[in-house]
Amino acid sequence: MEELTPMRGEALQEIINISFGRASASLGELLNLLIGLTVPDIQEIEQSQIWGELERLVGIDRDITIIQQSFTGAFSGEVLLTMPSYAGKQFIAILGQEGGFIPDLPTTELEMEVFLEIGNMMIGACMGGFVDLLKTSVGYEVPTIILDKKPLANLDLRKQNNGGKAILVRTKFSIGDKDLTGFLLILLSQEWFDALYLALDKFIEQAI
Amino acid sequence: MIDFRDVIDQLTVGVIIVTRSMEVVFWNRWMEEHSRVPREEVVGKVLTEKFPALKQKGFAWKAETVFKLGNFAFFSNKHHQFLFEFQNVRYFRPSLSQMQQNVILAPLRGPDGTVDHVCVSIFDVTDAVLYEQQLVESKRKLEELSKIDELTGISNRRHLMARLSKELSHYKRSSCGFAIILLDVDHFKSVNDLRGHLCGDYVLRELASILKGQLREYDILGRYGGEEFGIVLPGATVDQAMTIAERLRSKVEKSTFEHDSDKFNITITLGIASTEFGPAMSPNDLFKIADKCLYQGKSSGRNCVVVPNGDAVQGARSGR
Repeated sequence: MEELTPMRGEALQEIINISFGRASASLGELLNLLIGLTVPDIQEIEQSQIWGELERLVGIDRDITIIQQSFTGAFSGEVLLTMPSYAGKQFIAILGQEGGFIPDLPTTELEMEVFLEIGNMMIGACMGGFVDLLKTSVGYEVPTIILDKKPLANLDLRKQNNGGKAILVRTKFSIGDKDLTGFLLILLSQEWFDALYLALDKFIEQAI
Repeated sequence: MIDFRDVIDQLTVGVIIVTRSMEVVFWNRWMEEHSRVPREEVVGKVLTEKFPALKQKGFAWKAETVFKLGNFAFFSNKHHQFLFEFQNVRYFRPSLSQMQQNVILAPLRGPDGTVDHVCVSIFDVTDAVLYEQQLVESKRKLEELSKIDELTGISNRRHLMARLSKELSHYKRSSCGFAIILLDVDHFKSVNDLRGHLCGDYVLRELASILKGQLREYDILGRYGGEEFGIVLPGATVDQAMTIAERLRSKVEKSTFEHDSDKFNITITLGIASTEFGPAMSPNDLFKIADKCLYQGKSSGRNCVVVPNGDAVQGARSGR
C-alpha cells in the first residue's frame, strides 16, 4: 500500500509551509498585523487514530472549537481545524479593531462567525497548497462549527470512521502579540491519498 | 453554440459577479425574480450602495478577503440567516418570513492569475432550515415525553434518577447538599381492590397534583414506581425536608378524594435521606436509605415521616 514516505512527507511539509507563508503575508496585510505561522509538523494517521491523537495534543478537558469544511472537485474530503476556545474573543478584537470586520450580530454569534472567518482563511491557505500541487481546483462547502467551546469528548463525530486516512498538520500561529496553537486535519479517503502521492512524486521529480 | 449566460439564468441559484470596487457586472434571472430588481437597474452600480443592508453583514470585508487571499468566503445561514432580505415564497410553510440563505463568495481569476472578480452564489436553504427546525422540535418533544410518567404527568423514574445524579454531581462539586423524600400510598392495594383500578389511577393522578402544589418550583417530583413517589429537594437540610414531608403528609391526610361520587381519604408514609448523613453516595444508595425509612414507617403504623436515625418517627401519630 502506498504510504507517506519521509521524502513525500518532506515535500508535503514544504508545500504547506509555502502556502502558510503566502497566507500569513496576505492575512497580515489584510489585518494590518504581523501574522506568524510556524513551520508545520506533518503526520499521516489512520482515521481510527484521529481522536486519540487529538486528545493527546489538545487535552481531554480543555474547551476547544472545531471548524469543519468539506471540499469537492478533482479530489474530495474534509478539513477540520481545532482552535482553543479562548481565541474567540481575541479574534473579535483582531478582526473588528484591526480588520474593520464588524457584522451586525449578537456577541455569541459574532464569536462563532469570527472563528469561521479565521478558520476559513487558515483552511483556504493550507488547501491552496494542495490544489496548486495537484494542478487542479476544488470547490468548498460552507464551513460549520461542529464543536463549540467544549471538550473533545462532546463531539458526536468521534464515533464515525470511514476507514480512510488523515493528514495532521500541527502549527502554531501568532496574531500580533498573541500566540495560539491550532491543529488542522485533512481527511481523505485512500483513493485521494493515492492521487496525492502521485502528485507529490511528480513534485519531487521536478525539484531534483 | 451555448451562451453560458443563458445557462446561468436557468439556475435556481442567485449569481452575482462584482468587481473589486463592488460594481455589479452580472446579475442572473434568479436574482431579478427574488429581489424584484431588474438586471438593467443594478448592472454597473455599486452593489453595497444599491443594497445598503449588506454593509451591516460585513459583505465588503469578506469580498475584500477573496480579492486579497484568493480564498472562498462564506455567509453561513446558521449565523446570518440570509444575506439578501428576500421573501420566503413557500405558501404552505410561512413560519419563516425571509428566505434562508447560504452564500459563497468565490474568486474569479484573470489571465495573469490575479483575482479580478468575485462570484457571489446565493443558495435558498429555507426548506432545509424548516426541516431542521421540525426535527429539533420533534426531538425536543420526544425528549420531553421520555421524561414524563404517562399516568400522572410528572417525571418518570428514569428522569427522576437522572436529576438525582445531576444533583449528586453538583453536590460533589459545590458541597451544596440536598435531601430526598420517598413516599408511598398507605393501603393502596385496598383502594384498587375495593374501588377498582380506574379509581387507583385517579388517586395517583390526584396525589401527584396535590404533591406538586406543595413543592417549590425547583423541587423534582417523580413517580418512582407503582404507588411510590420520589422527591428531590435541592439545597434542603434534613430539618427542612422533614418540615416539607410533614406538610405533604398533612395535606394529603386532609384532602378528600372523590371518584364516581364516592368520597374517601388516603394517607401516605414518607422516608427521608440526605447528603447530611455521610459522604455522597450513588442515587440508588440514597433511595435505599429513604426506602428503609419508609419501610420502618410502614411497620410503625403508617401515615408518618421517618428520618434515617432509626427512632425519629414523626407525623400524626407522634403528635406533629
